[in-house]
Amino acid sequence: MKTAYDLIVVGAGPAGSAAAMRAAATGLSVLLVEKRQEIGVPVRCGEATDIETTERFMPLDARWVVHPVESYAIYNAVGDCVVVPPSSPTIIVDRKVFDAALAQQAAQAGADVRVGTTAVSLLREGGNGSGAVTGARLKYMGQVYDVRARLVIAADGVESQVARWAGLKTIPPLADYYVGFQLMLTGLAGRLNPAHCEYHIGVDSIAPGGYVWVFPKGEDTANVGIVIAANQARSTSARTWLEQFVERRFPGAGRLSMVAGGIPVTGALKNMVTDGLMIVGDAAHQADPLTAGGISLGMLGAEMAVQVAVAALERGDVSARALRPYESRWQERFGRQHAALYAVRKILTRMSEADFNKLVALGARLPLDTMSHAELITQLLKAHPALLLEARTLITTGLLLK
Amino acid sequence: MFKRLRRESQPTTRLVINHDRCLSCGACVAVCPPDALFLHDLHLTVNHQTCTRCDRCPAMCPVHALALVPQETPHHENGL
Ligand SMILES: Cc1cc2nc3c(=O)[nH]c(=O)nc-3n(C[C@H](O)[C@H](O)[C@H](O)COP(=O)(O)OP(=O)(O)OC[C@H]3O[C@@H](n4cnc5c(N)ncnc54)[C@H](O)[C@@H]3O)c2cc1C
Ligand code: SF4
Ligand code: SF4
Repeated sequence: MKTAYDLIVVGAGPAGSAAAMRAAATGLSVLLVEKRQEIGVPVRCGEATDIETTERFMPLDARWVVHPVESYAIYNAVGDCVVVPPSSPTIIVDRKVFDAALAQQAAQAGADVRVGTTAVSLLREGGNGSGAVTGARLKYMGQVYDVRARLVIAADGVESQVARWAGLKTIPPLADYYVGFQLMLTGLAGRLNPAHCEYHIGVDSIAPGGYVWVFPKGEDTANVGIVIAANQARSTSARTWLEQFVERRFPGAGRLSMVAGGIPVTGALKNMVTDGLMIVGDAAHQADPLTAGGISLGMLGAEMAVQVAVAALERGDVSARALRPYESRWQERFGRQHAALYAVRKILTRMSEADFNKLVALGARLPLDTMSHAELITQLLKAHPALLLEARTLITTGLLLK
Repeated sequence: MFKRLRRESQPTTRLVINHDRCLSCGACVAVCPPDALFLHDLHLTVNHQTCTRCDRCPAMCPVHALALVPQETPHHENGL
């Protein structure tokens, strides 16, 4: 078995497979390791993602595309709803098959893929635990072995240990984490529109600091999940909140699967590199700070990281300084946008349920498809002057200027 | 006197994991400052030596499978 590579990628989620695929395609020798015995299992996801990013990495395939999303309906707690098109064309995927297909693409591009293989520590220059990263210690079937690499990319998801070993992990306050739980429900025929995703928002009666989603997977089945702010999850668990919602919205539905998870919603870490190491995807907190969607963003983060990595490897300099352009490119592309989304989440968290109900009720009566953004905002501010203050936050963060 | 000091510095609570509930999602691992939680082969364990009883992970668990309980609580009475 080969014991030296140009690049080791730890974790074969969307970010890791995307990184391995892109790097292998440039001719680098790449090892992709995944601790799970089967890639993509268990699924920890609502499975909605955008088409454009997906197609950058692989052609859409009926094996994992379940169906397109035509609209989102945003509901308040009393049943009014505003229907909007997705901000970019979106599909519901089968994550288990999707993740496996991406890893397969990486293998086809030339990466060695090893499942059931856990990274247990990093190899460091000088052997004192703080020098540049020079590879990883791996464990497969109880056997431990070392693999050297010129660079390591950590794509090991939310519980990222690799970033910790390298001293890059920062732990934000609980208010900046979502706690998530999801049920795949069946027996929903007649109670769903398959092309129509639902969001339900209500800080007191639906999901404190978060929201509930209904993402249909066909006529009869849907992912019904919740995220709540972790600092508001102490007295009642995410699971309990979701069970209450399901009891009201889909009484008697059958349950096909159960998913739990946590997502940092801060926007990407400031430090995503150190000597010989880069982090991508959930490990680098790259998920959307409002919706917590992280499939596409992790893949885009991986792509940016690899672009910088390839140039650095060509020059033979993988110091943190040489890798930093990855951080600045991320900030250029997503920094302002994510700061704005973060601000929106904070506003939604602060707004009372009664105010939010009013806002949606008003939106439901407005002809949204024929109104300009400016008209819409004027109408909303007229009805809800307190929003003026919040609007200023948004304007300063650049959302409305975009 | 020494005895008293020692007793006071001894932790009065301990973290318990309800394995019947835990879905091995790793959310708790992500928020543990001293890195005292480990997920190996979908099995969660806690290192009681390094756990500082900071009480972050119980809030992070989507299914409330974690709790800090008084040190002496017998397992069947810890409320989980
Ligand atoms: C309930 C829930 C619903 C969600 N819904 C959506 C949604 O609808 N749309 C969306 O875009 N996003 C959603 N997300 C977020 C999305 O799932 C993540 O952002 C995405 O999976 C991140 O990809 P990743 O590759 O960074 O990490 P992951 O997909 O978590 O992959 C990390 C991989 O690394 C492996 N690994 C970890 N440690 C090691 C190690 N030491 N050695 C080897 N391998 C290791 C893990 O086993 C895992 O396979 C949701 C999340 C949750 C919890
Ligand atoms: S109580 Fe704090 S230190 Fe102990 S395991 Fe939980 S998060 Fe870690
Ligand atoms: S957060 Fe809860 S369900 Fe997830 S691994 Fe920790 S104890 Fe288990």
